[in-house]
Amino acid sequence: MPNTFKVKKKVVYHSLRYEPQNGVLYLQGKLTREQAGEVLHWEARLESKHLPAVLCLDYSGVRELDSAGSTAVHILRRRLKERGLHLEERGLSPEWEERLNLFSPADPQATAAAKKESLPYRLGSWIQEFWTKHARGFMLLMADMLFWGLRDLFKRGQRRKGEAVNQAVGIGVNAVPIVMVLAFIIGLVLALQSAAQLRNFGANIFIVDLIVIAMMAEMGPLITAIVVAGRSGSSIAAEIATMKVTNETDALQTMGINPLRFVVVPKLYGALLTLPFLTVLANVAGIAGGATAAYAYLDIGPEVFFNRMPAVLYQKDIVTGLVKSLAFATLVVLTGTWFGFQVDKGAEGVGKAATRSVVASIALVIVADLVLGLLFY
Amino acid sequence: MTKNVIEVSELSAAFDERKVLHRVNFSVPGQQVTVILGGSGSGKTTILKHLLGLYPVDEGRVRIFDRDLASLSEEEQRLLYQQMGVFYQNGALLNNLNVLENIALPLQQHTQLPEDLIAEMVRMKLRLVGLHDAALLFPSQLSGGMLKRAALARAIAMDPPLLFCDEPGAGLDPVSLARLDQLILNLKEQLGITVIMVTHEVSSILRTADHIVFLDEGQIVLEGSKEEALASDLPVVRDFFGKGTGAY
Ligand SMILES: Nc1ncnc2c1ncn2[C@@H]1O[C@H](COP(=O)(O)OP(=O)(O)OP(=O)(O)O)[C@@H](O)[C@H]1O
Ligand SMILES: [Mg+2]
Repeated sequence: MPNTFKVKKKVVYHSLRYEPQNGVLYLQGKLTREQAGEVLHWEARLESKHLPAVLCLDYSGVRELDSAGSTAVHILRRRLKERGLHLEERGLSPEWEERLNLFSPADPQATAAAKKESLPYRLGSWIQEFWTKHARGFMLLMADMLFWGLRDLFKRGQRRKGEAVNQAVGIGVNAVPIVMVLAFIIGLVLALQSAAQLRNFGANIFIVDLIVIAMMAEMGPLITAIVVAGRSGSSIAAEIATMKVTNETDALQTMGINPLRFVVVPKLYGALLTLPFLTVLANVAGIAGGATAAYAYLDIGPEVFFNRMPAVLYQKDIVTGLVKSLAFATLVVLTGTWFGFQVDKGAEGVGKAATRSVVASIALVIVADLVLGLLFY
Repeated sequence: MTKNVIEVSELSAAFDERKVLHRVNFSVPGQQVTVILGGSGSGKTTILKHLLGLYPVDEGRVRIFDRDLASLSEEEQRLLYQQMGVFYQNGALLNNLNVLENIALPLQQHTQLPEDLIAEMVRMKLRLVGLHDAALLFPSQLSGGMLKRAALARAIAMDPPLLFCDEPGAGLDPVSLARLDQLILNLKEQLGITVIMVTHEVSSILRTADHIVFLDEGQIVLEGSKEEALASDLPVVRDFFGKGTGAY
């Protein structure tokens, strides 16, 4: 078979044969999913300058035709027409014609994939989407939550009796051991790491300043918030997501009960009530850890340590720590609630909501720590 | 008379001592729609799972395409699976893939077809089930009926000669159901595929069934053509088709 068009590499096609001199493409044999790719391959390699004005498609040799083959034929016809070719067809048996009709292509517009947009455009629409879908909603939720939180303080609204106390136990009291152990270890390590440096300068006694200020203003509230975000942030998100998936929030809504007031406000109270105390306990444990290291490595006895403490304990640091803990409590509950309500359907959404809420609340807590740190500096 | 594609003989099954299938015998003629009927809990899904090789055949024999199911090697079973499309009762689409990707999956796994051809084929299959504008949605964003149709599109992605459907009609509105039946009939007539279907929808049975297997408490009480089933005097069968004595 003479080939007048340039062949880049010799390819053997099983399902087609092209006769350029007559302008006939013979489709033949099994036009099935094993071989249908050949048709498109042939078309892609065909160079425009070798195209005849009229191309005849001959189907008389087709022995098998499945959905892959039919689709390939439809694509071939479309692409050849797009290249400005005039198509003739022959040898199409009624059976294959019916098959081609059954497997005729979908309207390409209907399922057109999203168009590739330019980078600045995508960045812009991403920012817009972030704002409209997330940031604004998040702030609205915050406003809602604080509104109902304040209002229900004075008017027992739709809360269940004792629910805030339950939540306080779950969020705060049960977290006491882990928070204290972690704070102790961090205080210890902090003192340990600085001991060697301070000894070089003979500034041993300043270990007290370092530990007390670092724990009270920074580490205490931060450790507490991170532990609570991991423990309670995830469980708040999972609980609300589950309620959402099983239509419980819808049920509350149609019973005229605001899910935010009923479910979230008690959690907010529980967190706001316990986080300051939890932070104080973390401070105590952290300072105890620091004192232990000071005694062991710098020969600073407990009396010396605690005698110096009042001198470095500024009211401002204590207040900073407590204000931070209140802000962190709000953030953790807010983020958990937000991601819980974001879920629409499906069990796997619950797990995702929990994960996202932990990551986001830890990130937000650290950012808020920076902002508050700068404000109180 | 067409050749039988599936032959089941003396199949029994039990879940911990409790027998749910009692020496079941029936056959599935090729290029026809065979409907398995029966009340809730009569063992329809259990039979289907045996045919699919999801439950081992302990007692009795199942032959598909003249091969004994119990004697197949893993590789032969895999090749057999490529010949069968299965439409699961609850859809069973993968949740982290969108509809398009779900349906493209078997094609990508089992063929060497170029991506653009696969994409176009998937869209075409979605059009067949009337779901082409949902191609980019995820299963959690579909309604129950849309999920069913997406599952059917996946079941026919590979043009299987053998199609199993477990309650394809449940949860569909009558119009969509009629369309679905028409599609199954088209596939049968134009491609010559064999369909095994479990369904409770009488309208759907009247439209599609060629061959009927009626189960009651794990036993076959009737096997025959649609006309034979409709003319049957058996009380369970009469009740099913709404011509009962009103005993309930
Ligand atoms: N995994 C299992 N373990 C124990 N018993 C089972 C199991 N699967 C099914 N059964 C029992 O087998 C019997 C038949 O169940 P099967 O699911 O086949 O019914 P079915 O005919 O499909 O009913 P339906 O129309 O409600 O889907 C029932 O009595 C059921 O309790
Ligand atoms: Mg069932």
